[in-house]
Amino acid sequence: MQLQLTLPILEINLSLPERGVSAIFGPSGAGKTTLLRAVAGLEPAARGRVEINGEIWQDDAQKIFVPTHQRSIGFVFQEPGLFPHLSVQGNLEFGLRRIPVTDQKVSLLKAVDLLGIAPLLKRSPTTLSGGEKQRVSIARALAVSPKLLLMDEPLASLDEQRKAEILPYLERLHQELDIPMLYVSHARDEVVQLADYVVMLEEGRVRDSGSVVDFLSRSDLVDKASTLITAKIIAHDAHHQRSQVEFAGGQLWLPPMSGAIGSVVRLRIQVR
Amino acid sequence: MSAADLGAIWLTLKLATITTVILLTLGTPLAWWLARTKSPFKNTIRTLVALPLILPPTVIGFYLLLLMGPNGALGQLTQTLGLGLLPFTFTGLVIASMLYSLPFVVQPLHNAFEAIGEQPLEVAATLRASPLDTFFSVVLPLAKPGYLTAIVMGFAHTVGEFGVVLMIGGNIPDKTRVVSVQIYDHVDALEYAHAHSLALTMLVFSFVSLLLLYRFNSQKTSTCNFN
Repeated sequence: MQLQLTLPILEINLSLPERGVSAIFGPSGAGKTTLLRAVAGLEPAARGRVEINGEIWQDDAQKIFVPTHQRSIGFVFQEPGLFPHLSVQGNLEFGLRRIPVTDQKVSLLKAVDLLGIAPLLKRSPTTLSGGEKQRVSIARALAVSPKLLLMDEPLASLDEQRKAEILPYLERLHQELDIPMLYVSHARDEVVQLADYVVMLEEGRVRDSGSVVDFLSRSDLVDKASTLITAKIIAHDAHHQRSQVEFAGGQLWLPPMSGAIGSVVRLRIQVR
Repeated sequence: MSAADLGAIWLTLKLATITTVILLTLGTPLAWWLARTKSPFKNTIRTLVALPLILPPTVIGFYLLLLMGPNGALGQLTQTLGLGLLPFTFTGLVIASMLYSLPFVVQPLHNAFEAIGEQPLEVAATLRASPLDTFFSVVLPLAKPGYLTAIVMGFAHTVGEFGVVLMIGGNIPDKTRVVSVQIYDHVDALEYAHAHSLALTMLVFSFVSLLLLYRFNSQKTSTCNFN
C-alpha cells in the first residue's frame, strides 16, 4: 500500500505491507484518525495519492478520486454507529446486500461466528451493551468482504473489562482472515497484541515505522523496552493450572491460557 | 350540519391534504439543503422560510394577491400559459396555503435532518451505500418523527388558516369557502348553533391530532438515538 497524503494537520508518505495488521500508533492529536479517514475517502480536503494493493483510490495528479461508497473498505469507527432503525441482523446485512455476490468472500455466518454475536441477531441495537455493539459493528464491516479493514480505535470508547472482551475477537480476525488491516490506536498494549507492522505518528508526521518486533526492542520509542516472542500453545495442564508454549528457542510453562492447542500467541518480556 | 357546512369541511380537507403532500415533496430537498449546506445564503433562506410564522396572514395574502393578479409576475405567467388568473380559485388557495404553512413543514424536517448528524451518513458510505441510497435507507427512517411532526403541523395549520384564504380565495361556496370562513359567515349571520357545531369539530380535530402526534413521538424518540 502506498499512502501519500497532505492535509493541514497531516503530511505523510508511507509504504505499508500488503498483508497483516499495520498499527498507526501515536499520541492523541497526532493525526491518526485523519489519516484513516483520508484512506476511506472521508476527508475531502486530503490531497495526494492512495494506492491499496494495486487499486488507485485517489491520485490528484490523474484527477482520480473514488468516492467512499465505491472503495472496498470495512470501517470500524470509535463509536459503533449501528443503525437504530434496523435489528442487529439488518445492520449486518446493510452492507452485504450492497456488494455483488461474486465479491462475497466473508460469509455472514463467518462474521457472526468470528465475533460471537449469533445470540444477538434478532435484537435491536439499542438493547446491546457497549462491547456487544462494537462487536456487531466489526462484524458488519467484515460482512462487506473488504480488501482493507480500517479500524479507528475500536476499543477506545470501552472500559477495561469490555476491551478485554473484544481483544480476543480481534486476534481471531487477524489469524483467520486474510484481510489487511489499518489499526489506529494510542494504546501500546493493543498494538503489541495485534500489530505486525507499526507506524508511529507524531504531530502529523511519521516518526518511525517498522515491524512490531523491531519496534518493541527500541527503548526510545516505548517507555519500557520489552522483547516480543511469537510462540505456539502445545499443552494445557488443568491440574496444575498452567499452559505450555513452544518457540524457536525452547519451551515455557506459563499461567493458563485460553487459546486452543496449536494456536499462536505473543509473549512480551519486559525489561525492568 | 348543512350541505354547505359539509362542503366546507370537504374543501378544507382537500386543501390541507394537497398542500401537505406538495410541501413534503418540495420541503424535503429544501430542508436537506438547509441542514447540510455551508452556503453563505443559508441564513437568508432560513429567514425567508420562517417569515410566514410571524407575518400577519393578511400581509402574505396581500402580496400574493398582487403577485398573482393581472399585473403581477405570477399572474402574467399564468395568463401567458393560458391558465387564467389564480386569485379566487382553488389552485390559488393551494399556492397561498403552501407559503403560509411552509415553515411548519420545513422546520421539523430541517431539525430532524440536523439531529441525524454526519456519522450515520459516513457509516452508510463505508457500507457501500451511495448518497441517494443512504437518503432513502438511513435518513428517511431516522427522520420519521420529524416527518410525522411536519405532516401533522402542516395539515393542521392549513386547516386553521383564515386570513390568507379571505385575501386570496374570498368566499366562494365549494371552491374557496373553507371551514374557518364558513364559521365566520355563520357568526356574521348570528347562526351561533351552526357556528358552534363547526367550531367544536375544529377544536376536537386539532386537539386529537396534536395529542396523537405527541404520544407517537414520545414513544419514538426513545428508540431513535443513533449510537
